[in-house]
This record gives sequence, structure tokens and C-alpha cells, in this order.
Amino acid sequence: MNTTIKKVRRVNIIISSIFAILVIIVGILFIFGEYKIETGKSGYTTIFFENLESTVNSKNGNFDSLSFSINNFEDQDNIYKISIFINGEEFDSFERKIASKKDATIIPGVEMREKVASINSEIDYEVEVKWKKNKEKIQKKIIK
Amino acid sequence: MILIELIKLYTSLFLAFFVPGYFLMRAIFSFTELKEKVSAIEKLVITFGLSVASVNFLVIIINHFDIPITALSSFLVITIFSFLFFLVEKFFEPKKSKADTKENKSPLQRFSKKQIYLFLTIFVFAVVVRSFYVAEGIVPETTDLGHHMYWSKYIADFGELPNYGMPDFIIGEHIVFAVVILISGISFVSAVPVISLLLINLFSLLAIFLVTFRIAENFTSKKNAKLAALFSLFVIGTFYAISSPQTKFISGGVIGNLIGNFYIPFLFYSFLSALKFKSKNFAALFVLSSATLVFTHHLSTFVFLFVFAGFLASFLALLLIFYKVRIKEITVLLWKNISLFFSAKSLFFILLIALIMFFVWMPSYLNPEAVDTAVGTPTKSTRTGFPLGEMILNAGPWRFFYSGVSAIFVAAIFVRKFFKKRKSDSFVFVVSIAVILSWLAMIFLMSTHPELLKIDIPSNRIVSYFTFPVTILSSIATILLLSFFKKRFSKNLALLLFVMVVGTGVVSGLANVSDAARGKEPNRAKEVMETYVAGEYLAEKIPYKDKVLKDHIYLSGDTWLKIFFMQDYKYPLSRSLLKRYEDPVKKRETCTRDMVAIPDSEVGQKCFKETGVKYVVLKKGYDTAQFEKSKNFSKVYISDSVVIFKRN
Repeated sequence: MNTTIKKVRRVNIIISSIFAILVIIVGILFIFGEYKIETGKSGYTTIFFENLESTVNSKNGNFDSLSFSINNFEDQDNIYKISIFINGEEFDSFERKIASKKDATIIPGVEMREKVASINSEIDYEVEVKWKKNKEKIQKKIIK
Repeated sequence: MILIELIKLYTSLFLAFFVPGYFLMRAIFSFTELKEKVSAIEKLVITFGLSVASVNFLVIIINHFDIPITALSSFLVITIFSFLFFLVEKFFEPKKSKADTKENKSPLQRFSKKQIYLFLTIFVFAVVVRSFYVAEGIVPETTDLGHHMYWSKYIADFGELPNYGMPDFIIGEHIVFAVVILISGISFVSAVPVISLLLINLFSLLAIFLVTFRIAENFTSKKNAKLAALFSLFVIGTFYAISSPQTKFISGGVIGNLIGNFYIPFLFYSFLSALKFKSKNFAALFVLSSATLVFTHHLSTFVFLFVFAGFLASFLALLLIFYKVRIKEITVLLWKNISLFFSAKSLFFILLIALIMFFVWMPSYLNPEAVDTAVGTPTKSTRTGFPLGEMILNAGPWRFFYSGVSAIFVAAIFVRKFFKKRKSDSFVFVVSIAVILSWLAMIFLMSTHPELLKIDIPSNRIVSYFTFPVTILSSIATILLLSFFKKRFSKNLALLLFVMVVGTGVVSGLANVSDAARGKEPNRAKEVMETYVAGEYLAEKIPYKDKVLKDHIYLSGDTWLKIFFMQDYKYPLSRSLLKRYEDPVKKRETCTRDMVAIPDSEVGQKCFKETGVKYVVLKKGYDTAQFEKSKNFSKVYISDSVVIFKRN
């Protein structure tokens, strides 16, 4: 009889172990999933061209220069403020997570230029990328 | 923060998959029966099966009474239901049992230390293999899962059950997910849907373990039956573990099949247990679980009905042979066993299900039109059956071969027992043999020669059900061979032969696992998330009902875009795979294709006007050149892999 009770206890060990395995695997998969989702949301830059388009339309294409700047916040790594300047004045800005310097330098790029050109090919504009870290300017790039 | 979310997830999974079923089980089964005939593993699996059933029917009922389906109502209805059955069990169930002895314990209640280690090692291995594969695609993105999660989100967002308007979806595929998400408060775009599917799949492995034991114990020793059950867990858990209907179905979000793959073996387990123990309670479990399958998946129900019909025919034939056409004796035996399924509990469940089906919620596929499309002589090449070679590959060559060996063994055992004196358990012996042979034969016939059974369903859908009978039979064959070797040869030679049998299985079965692990796309999750971020952006910015077209061919996770809009199942419009536009039988719309391929052409512009599409979501660099050059479109959004164009 004692042997039987021992064996029954062993089965209960199986049940506890199954639950423990399930709890662990659910936890790991959930945390891993959240990590993948969070990292998937960042590491690239999104540009909302409609801001630009509405501005150009509202000004009837009547402006001399258009520029963008990207700056990171001093206390937050990888979070950058992307600003759109028209005639030297900040028109709009938004914040984005950027994974690396490489990502930041390609942001406005050629597509911005094409877009602006499609609205008004006569506009003289510039795209400016500023990179600041530890209060020092590391890189400045002008595409004209 | 993530810890709180994790605790909420555990709570919701526990409430949806374990709590109501546990209390319902304690109310259905007597205290004595639970203690003496149902082992802890069986209780765990029954709890799971009854929980899924309870949650489905409870939500259907509260929806009928116009109670909004919310986190609170879901939580309360599960809690109240569980408490009521706790009271039923506490006050109405007598708690008397014999002393704990070896004789009055289920054999599955008694495990040696070695068997425990073996069980746990196999289970851990099965979990790990699945988890590695599932983790690769943990960000939900697959097409089927996207379609299903739209409906689950519909329940969660609108607080009511949807009217599908099509027979493709069944309510049981969506309720449990909606309840888990509602109670946990976690987003649908998370690992939760895949985790829930993984749980369902793991419990289907345990159901296979149980049904293998229940079948094998009737024609071999209890020890061999236990070994066969353990080996079946190994075979189903690790051999060909990635292929359909295993881990690929989890990642793919093939919800109905996965739930069906739990309930089909579970139904045979409860059916055999009812007959084995002459238990009205197991019979009631069979009735309730059958109804749950009907409310969960049409194809699984269809397959089960065919297999069960095949079982009845073969069983009656075998019974007539075994009892040498003694009609009177057979009639008495049949009535004695059939009457188990008409007890008060079973009749209560039958009445309850009938009421729900006819007055509350009829599964969408139960209409003459839908049945007509599934029954008849198949004409399409995809429905005319699989050649034998593909059947073997699909089942796994090792499993296929040894299931054939097992079928011969089982037939030989039947013949041997035929010439021996009949015992009291002969009836269940015939039932077991008929169950496993008809399960194998019917799915084989349905997959290879559907025209014989007048089945008009894609053959590749049916063939996935072949996995389970071949797993059970090949496991039984392996153990019977081991037993045979041990009797006939020296211990070492027997061991060597056994290692050869299992070794070929390991090579064949695990090759599939390593093949499937190759060719993963490392940036896939990032691309999928970019699609979702673009979807969130569009859903937030554009006016309601502004038409959107997205590309299904190149865009990662595009099917999930619909859950960001929640405007309609068919919103946004989709450019499908190109072969979908070519159908010699039925003319297909081509606008969704032409609006992407030739947006500036006369045809393309006409399509834009007719459909009213204003935004086009594409993968960057794939079919975007024509939009870049066009004066009719402006690029309004861009990320590393997603571009959105707006029609000017």
C-alpha cells in the first residue's frame, strides 16, 4: 500500500512538473514576444510626408528653403527629435527612436528631395542632418 | 510592467483553460470515480477539454441575453459558473471511497521513477522543440491567425458575437482567444494568440498519450500499454514535430484544426473510457465534448463523423465475427453499453446543446448550402485525393511503415483472441480494435480516394488528420515488437533490434525538425512590426471608410492590418497571390491586382474610381516604382520596408 501511495505521489509530481514547464515556457515566450515587438517598433525611422505636403500646399510652394534636423535628447539615448524647417523656421517636429547613427544619417535622404521636387521642382531646398551626442556635434551633412 | 502583464496573462490562461473545467469535472464525475479510475494526468486533460467547452458555451449564452462580452462579464461568468459547480460537488456528491490499494487505482496513476523521468524528458523535449520554432515567429503575422484574430477582436471590441455571413468561420475558434485577451488586457498583437495555440497543441499530445493507453490496454498488458502511451508521446511530441499538423499549425494560426486535433483523440478517449468502466459520466463527457467540437471546427467534426461512421460499421462486423453471429447475445451487449450514453447527465447535455443550437447559436456551417459544398463527387484537382507517396511523406515514412506493421499485429491479436475463451472485457477489446483500425482506414480513404466517400474537400486538409492514428499504431507496434524481441531473443539482441527500430524513427523524425529550422528570415519580425506601425498610423489618420488597398504578396503580416481598422472582415482590400486571379471555372475580380500593377493605366484608374481606393500600402521597392513616378499619387508615409501612397 505504501508503494502505491508513493507511486501516486510520483504522478502528482508529473502534474506539478507539467504546470511548472508550462508556466516557464509561457513566461519565456511572452517576454520574448514583447521584446521582439518593442524592438520591431524601433530601429527604423518613419517619415510622415503628409506634414510636408500640407505645408507646401498651404504656402503655395512659396518658400525658399526646406530643411530637416535630427537631434538626440541629452539624457535619452537613441531618442531623437526630427524637425522640419521652412525658411529657417521650425514648422513641425516629431520624436523617434533610432537604433544607430547609420539609421539617422539616411533619414531624409533622396526620397524627401524627390517628394519636394514633385510638388515644386523650382524650390531650392536643403536637407540637413545634425547629429548631437554629449552636447557635441559629431556630424553635419547637407544634401543640395 | 511586464511582470504585471505576465501575471495577468497567467491568470487569464488559468481562468480560460483550467478553472471552469476543473469544477465541472468534479461535478460530472463522482468522487469515487475520480479517485479510483481517473489518474491525475487524465484529470488534467479532462479539465482542459471541459474548460474550453465551458467558456465557449458560457459566452454564447451571455451573448444571447444581450450581456456585453467584456473583461468583467467574462471573469464573472467563469467565476460564478465555477463556484456553482463547486457547490454542486460539495453538497451533492458523496465522498466515499475504498482504501488506496493497487487494485483500485488507474494504471496511469502508478508510475515508476524511470517512467516519470521518461515522461517528463519527452514532454520537455516536445515543448522545447515547439518553442524554438514558435519563438522565431512569435510576433503574430500569419494569414490564418490574422483572419481569426479579427473575429476574436470583434468580440472583444464590440462585446458581442459576430455574424460571420460565411460558413468558413465557427464561433468556437474565436471565443477562447477573446476571453483570454479581454481578461488579461494584453493586445492581440502580442505572443498571446500563439501561446494559447501552443497550449492547445501540448494538450493534444497528452490526449494522444491517454487514448493510446486506453486502446492498447485492451489487447496487451497494462505495462506494455503504459510503455506504448509513453512512446506515443515521444512519437507525436518529437518526430516530425514541426510539420503539419504540429508546430506549423501553431505558428500558422490554424486554430480550428488545432482544437479539433485535441478533441478528436479526447473524444475517442472518453468514448473508450465510458465503455471500459461502464461509466455514464465518461459517456456524458463524450457527449459534451462532441458538441464542443461541433461548435469549434467544421472539418474536424466532419472527419470525426466519417471516422465514427466507419467505426460503427467495422465494429458491428467485427462483433458479429467475434461473437459468431449470436444475435441475442450481441443485442444484450450492445444495449448494455449504448444505454450508458442515455443517462440523465448525457440527456441533460444533449438537451442543453440542442437548445443552444436551435434557439441560441447555430454554427454557421450547418446549412444545406455549406454541407453541399463539402459533400459530392470531387472535381477540382486539389480535392481528388493524395497519391500514396505523398501520404507517406505527410504521415512521416517511419510512422507510416510501423502503423502498417501495427495494423497486422492488431489483426493477428484479434484472430488469436477469437480462438480463445471470451472474457468480460471482450466487448471493449473489439471496440478498441475497431476504433484504431477504422480511424486509420477512414482517413486514409478520405485522403486518397475521396470520390468513394463522396467528399468534396481539399485533400491536403484531410491528410493532416492521418498523423494521429499512425502515431498511435506505430507506437503500439514498437512496444509490441520490443515485447516480441524480449521473448524470442537474448536481452542484448532484443535491445539492439529495438534501438534499430527507434533509431530509424529518430533519424526520419528529427530530420524534419532540423530541415524546418533552416531558412528563417532574421529581419522578419522587424518587417512585420513596420507593417503594423504603418497600419496604426493609417487607422489613426484617415477618415472612417476611406478605402485602403494593401499588398498580400510582398508585405509582411499584411493580413493583420484589418485588426487595426476593425471596419470589416474584408477591409482593407487586398492584392492577392496572382494565381488567385486565374480561375477557369469562376470569373474573379482583378481590380485589386490591377490597381497595384498598373495604377496609371485606364484599367487601373477605372478600378480606383469604382472601388474608391484612396491609399495603397506596399512593401518598399516592390511594385512601388509606378507609384513613385506617377503624378496621380503622393507618398505619404515611408519606413524601412513599408510605403503608403495616397491617391491625389
